[in-house]
Amino acid sequence: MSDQRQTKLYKEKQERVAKTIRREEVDKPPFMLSADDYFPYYAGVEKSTVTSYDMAADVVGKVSDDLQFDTTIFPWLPANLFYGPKIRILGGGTYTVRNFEKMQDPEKVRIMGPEEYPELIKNPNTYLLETVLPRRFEVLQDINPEEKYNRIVEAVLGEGQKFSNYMQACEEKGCHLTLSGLMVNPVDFLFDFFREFTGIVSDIKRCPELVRDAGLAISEAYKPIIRSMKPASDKAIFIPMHIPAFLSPRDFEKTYWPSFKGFAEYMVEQGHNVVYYFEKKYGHLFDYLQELPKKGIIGVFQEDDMRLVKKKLGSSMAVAGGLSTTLMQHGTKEECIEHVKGLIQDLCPGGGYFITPDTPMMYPVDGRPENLKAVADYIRDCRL
Amino acid sequence: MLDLKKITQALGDLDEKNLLDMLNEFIASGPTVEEAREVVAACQEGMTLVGDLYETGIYFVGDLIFSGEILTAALALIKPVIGAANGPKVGTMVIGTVHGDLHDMGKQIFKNMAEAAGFEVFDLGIDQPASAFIEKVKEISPDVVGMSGVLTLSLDSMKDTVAGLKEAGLRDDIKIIIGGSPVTEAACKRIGADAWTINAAEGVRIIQGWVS
Repeated sequence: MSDQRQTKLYKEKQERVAKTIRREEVDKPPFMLSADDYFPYYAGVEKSTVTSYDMAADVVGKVSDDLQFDTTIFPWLPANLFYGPKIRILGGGTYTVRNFEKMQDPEKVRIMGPEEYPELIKNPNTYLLETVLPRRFEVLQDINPEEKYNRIVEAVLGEGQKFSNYMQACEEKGCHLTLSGLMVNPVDFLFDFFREFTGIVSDIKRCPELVRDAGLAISEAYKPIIRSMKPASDKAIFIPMHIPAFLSPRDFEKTYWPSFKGFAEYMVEQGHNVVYYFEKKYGHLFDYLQELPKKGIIGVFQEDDMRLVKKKLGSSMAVAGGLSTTLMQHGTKEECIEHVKGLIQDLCPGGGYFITPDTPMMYPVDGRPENLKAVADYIRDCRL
Repeated sequence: MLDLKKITQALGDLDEKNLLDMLNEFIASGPTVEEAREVVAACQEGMTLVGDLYETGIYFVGDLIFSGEILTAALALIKPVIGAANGPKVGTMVIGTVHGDLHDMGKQIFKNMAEAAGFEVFDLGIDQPASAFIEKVKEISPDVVGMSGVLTLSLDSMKDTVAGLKEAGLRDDIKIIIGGSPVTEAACKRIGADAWTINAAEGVRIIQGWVS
């Protein structure tokens, strides 16, 4: 493809994405691929042969050229390049990278006791740097503060910059990325990094006020990070939603919702769009989601009925999902295209809908390449 | 003697403090082994209430997990009274999260509920290859094998595990149930399992049917 045509197509994608986030109607159905490790599989490239970000960007560019999707939330994340160096710098800790996947033993996640909430609430940054990170990464325990901070900065910022350059290279190859930054909602941060599942669920039952206040304190600590990010109309801060799917509305409202809502409002006030990845089912929380800011929000849904999602939330946020990976793996091309036609017919009118796989495509079993190609070609040529 | 209905209800209501207060009082009264067993049975009934409330959409997964925490704490209090004289087991099972998958939660919920229903459960842990299932089945000859997984990739591992059990000549002696978000009727057929579920309470009912 010529550079001129690639630039033109990229600009069209940018505009289509920005309009869909604003819930405006567009010229063709917007296709948001969520693929990650499926990129090298689709490209026919063995992951172990990709030893640099330049090579990884070539893989992403090749797939983008072939499928012409409008955007992908983030590009392929080559674990050996992205996590490997960070983990090495921090001495491994609770993580390992195996078979190009980052692994963490769930039994090692609980590195904070419930009695430590007051300390965390007092100053989340200090608590993270001085208490939690040295527990997670033993290499940080017996070194002087300067060396400790240097290691953390090298792991987080140094490797982060390499990934930013990689994202830029992907975009220059015509692959539009939605991602402008990655955050984790405050109470999910507690769950993912400090308390693991049984711990956080028990805290929510036993000391809900402390969980709520810890979430609010983490939210305050996040704000300088948000201010340092540059907003763009076709980009969004990506936030995977983890624990709310498992909470009753009552527990959610008491503990998760205050920092979730406040943080969403802050990001939107700062001019950002936010893409929430609602893992599993969220039907029991739709009433709350309707109270999120009425602009700048994209909700990607996994297991909820997308027609119901659009009906309930379509006037509050742009929505994404619905493309059955099960059908793409086990159905015929014709069945896949019929399925997509139905999504377009039912969900595209009025704008604000991205066609997106119902689960991130990570493995070969997440869809046959020929079916994905047929779906992508149909969407590319479809006009609304 | 303790009001057993109150024990059942406290666990069903996830009222941890009330339940443990009652149990501490009970233990302090110097109960017999038989009385302690009745209290354990009342706790098991409480777990059934929790399962029912989950199935009707009132409780969520977080509630199931917390009920397991409460049950563990309750049994830890009662165990010294019962000692080694455990009651009869309704069946034995081996469970594990299959190779390539580190998700623990669903397996843990199922384990809690199966144990509460009287099963002796041997938990292999997470990321377990077919060989680990085969070895354990050879060792203890369970009634049931349960495989758990959340990643779509885990379906392949489940299939490999069933094939391995078949190759080892063990398949016909056991029932196999699979669970986890990617599991479907079609996947169950491809894998060669006997049953599938995405609901721990339903899963326990299925395996109860197998051993009754």
